[in-house]
Amino acid sequence: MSEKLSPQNLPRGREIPNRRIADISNLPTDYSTTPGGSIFSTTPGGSRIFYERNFLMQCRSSPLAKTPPANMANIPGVTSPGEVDVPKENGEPSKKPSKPEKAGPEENPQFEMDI
Amino acid sequence: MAAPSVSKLETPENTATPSPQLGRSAINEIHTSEQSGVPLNTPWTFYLDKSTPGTSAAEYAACLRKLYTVSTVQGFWSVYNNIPTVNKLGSRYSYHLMRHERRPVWEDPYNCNGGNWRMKCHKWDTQKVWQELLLAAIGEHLSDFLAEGDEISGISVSMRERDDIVTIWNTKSQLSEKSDILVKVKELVPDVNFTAAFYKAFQTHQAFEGHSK
Repeated sequence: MSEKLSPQNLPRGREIPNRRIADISNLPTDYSTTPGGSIFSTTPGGSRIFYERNFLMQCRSSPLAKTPPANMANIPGVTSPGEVDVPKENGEPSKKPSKPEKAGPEENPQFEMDI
Repeated sequence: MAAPSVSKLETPENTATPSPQLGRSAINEIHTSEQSGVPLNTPWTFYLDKSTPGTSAAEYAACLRKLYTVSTVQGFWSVYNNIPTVNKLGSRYSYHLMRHERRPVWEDPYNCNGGNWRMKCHKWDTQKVWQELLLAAIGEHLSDFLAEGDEISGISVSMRERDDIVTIWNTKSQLSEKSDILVKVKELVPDVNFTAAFYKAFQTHQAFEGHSK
């Protein structure tokens, strides 16, 4: 290596691991190089982080992503083997049968609309 | 504090003071692999529920199961990769991915002035739609299609007998008309034909139990 360090060398060497989120450390170096694309960017003057789909998909096979979090909720049939058992309120039937469901009123007439 | 010898450093019992080394090791054990991943813009929480027609808000909330709150990309995958895909869920089950730890409950403070876009899709498309929506949500690509001042609160997928339902939750129903979110969805999954798509403010649901603010 040249003993004379040109002024550009030093800052350029540091920009790569830091990316644009200087306040967030621990970004592993192997994530700093996506082939053919930015991994993320911030809003101009803002702090929002965007992740490109390709980058997200690459992370899917990372070692960390292969096993569930150690302290993930244990729900038989979902996060562990067994029958799915979502608790019911005391196992009682609904007390207000006249009301539509909360999570998805599929019988809702509004579904007649087209996209 | 005097510099301890190397051997002492490795033995927690020899810590003479409320020492940083003990704290660090404890923290490292407590915190999961989450900590070493790429940070998400905000944390997101996975929920599961099984809806029953005619439940009250309280009954619904009681049946809601929080799976995990993720704050990194790897953490997101570690949950998603290790829970059943939507096509393995039984009818009337729903997954939700909500920003921070907001609950998918209409009446909660973050949601009560909001609503959601509801899209019905064929069963063979549900898994694809759900995954693309998840990636767009955590990648923060949905937010740009909202009006200024609005926010994506979460996304849900609900399994039904026939067509399944995917929903995108926002926080300000008044701003929904200024949103291009359905255009974005079409862009995300151009091959998917939704059999229905519309927006509904939570307060306009007959079953809404909260108060307008």
